[in-house]
Amino acid sequence: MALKIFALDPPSTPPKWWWWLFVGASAVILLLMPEYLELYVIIDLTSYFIFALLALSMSFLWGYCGILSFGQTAFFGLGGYGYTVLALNTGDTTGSIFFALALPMLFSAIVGYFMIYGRISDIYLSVITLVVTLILEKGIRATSGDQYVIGSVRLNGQNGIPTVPSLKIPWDTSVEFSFEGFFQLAVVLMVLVYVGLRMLLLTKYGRVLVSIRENERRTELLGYDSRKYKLSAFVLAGGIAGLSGALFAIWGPLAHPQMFGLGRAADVIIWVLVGGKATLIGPIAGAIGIEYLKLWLGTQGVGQVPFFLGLVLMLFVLLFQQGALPSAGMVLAYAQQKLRRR
Amino acid sequence: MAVDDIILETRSLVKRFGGVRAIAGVDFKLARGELRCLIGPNGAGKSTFFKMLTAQLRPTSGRIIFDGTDITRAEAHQISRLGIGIKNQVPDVYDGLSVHENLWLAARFRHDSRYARQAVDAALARLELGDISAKLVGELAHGQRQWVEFGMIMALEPEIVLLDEPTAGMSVEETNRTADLIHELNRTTTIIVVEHDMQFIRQIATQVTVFHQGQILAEDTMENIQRNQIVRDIYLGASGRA
Repeated sequence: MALKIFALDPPSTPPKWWWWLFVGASAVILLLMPEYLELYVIIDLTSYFIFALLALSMSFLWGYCGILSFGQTAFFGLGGYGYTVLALNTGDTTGSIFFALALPMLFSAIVGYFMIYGRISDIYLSVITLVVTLILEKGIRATSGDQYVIGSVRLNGQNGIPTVPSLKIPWDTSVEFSFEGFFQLAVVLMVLVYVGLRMLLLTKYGRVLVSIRENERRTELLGYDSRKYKLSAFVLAGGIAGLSGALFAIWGPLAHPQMFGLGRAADVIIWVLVGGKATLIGPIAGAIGIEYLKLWLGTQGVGQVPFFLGLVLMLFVLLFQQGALPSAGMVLAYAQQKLRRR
Repeated sequence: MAVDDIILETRSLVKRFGGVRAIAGVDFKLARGELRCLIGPNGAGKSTFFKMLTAQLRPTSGRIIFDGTDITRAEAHQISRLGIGIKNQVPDVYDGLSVHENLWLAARFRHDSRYARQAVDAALARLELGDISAKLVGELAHGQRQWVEFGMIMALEPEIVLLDEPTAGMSVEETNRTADLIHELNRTTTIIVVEHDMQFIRQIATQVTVFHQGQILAEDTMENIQRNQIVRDIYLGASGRA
């Protein structure tokens, strides 16, 4: 069964015309949304699209390279704090965004180097990344004292940093992004990263990554240095998670230790599993769907949101192991087959 | 035999597992273009030897020299870059990818993308896998999966090919075809085959090396090996007479 699913979305085949049409039309519709929707809806949606970036970093790594990093939140949080601290110190928000990409990438390169070149097994990689993000959370939580200052910025421990500067327009730094503009920026980045990863998987680099997921030893026996491929993918995913973290801190506006926390780390796994980890579009849908479900459950006065999320996860793990979108795709393909036979 | 004809050589190769000496000082030489079979009873050390030649195990001591390069401590991916193609006993393929993608990954390592596509088409034709090139390898029959792996190794255009029990689990017909493939490969490359199946060895072998208790017991043509009384006693036994 698992084999069938990978066949549905073979990474080596270029997308058909309808894929471009779908992506283009979706992007246009999303960009026009602020014209028609209430501001509070737009603000909620912005956070979903930011989470979708984080989900993409996870599905690229897990679904295509076979690396389950339980701690993508480590890079998410570092991106958030990196942006906040630098932007508060320098006032240069564009530069700080690039810093929020670079810092998690550097960090993931160091952590990844020891894990991947040390050839630890996949399960330990998952455990270590989870522990790393929890250590960062504890570490940041312990910085409430006024001796924990970077430049002129107090880290504030448990309370986080609530004064995250809004993003300014790169070519005119006197103007800040409006809520609508920031929404559109999130849409553009999400679409760019989605299309970019899809294209990357068409290249030799992407196809070798998939082969490592399938059978790492064979890839090595063919002559590819799998460690190089895995480490670079890990760093790339770290950068995407960092970008997502910076945007989330701006959206808050809050850089908070919870960005590193177990709850958020588990959310990422749930988005990707529910959406379908062997696709890139699935986790986007998963992030948006699950976050919307959480919000909706909250407004219905259901106190036990995590309990319901757990139920959803169990439902998917037991019944729709491939995730929502691939399962729907299979149902469609089956129906099509039946219709043709008639 | 001239010295520069040697493509693969081991010098007093030793592998210990705890107190056990699985390989106890093997000096092995292989000439370019040769087709050599390694045989021996279970536990004789031929699989351990194979794994060391292919960098899947590190020797305890001794050296392995391939074409003038010391590969004793090489990594698996470096082995292939030097021109060594490896086929393990269990088909080592990408079950979740198509036949075409399997071959492409091998061909693309050696060639630019244009020539890689031609190499894949050539391999598909040669192995008669053209009709099923879009199928996932995991859905194929055992013999076909083995050939996909042969195809991948051919696409790498190696100088030497190491095969560990290439006919394990194959039908008679499939075994015959595999023997043909090996002969065809041997026209351009040097080959080492580790095998159990005596019938198959008779089909393909010119030179045979017999392992026993971690050492080389004998090295000769298959006819002479079959006549060798010591070899018969320790290894061939019942199956040798059959």
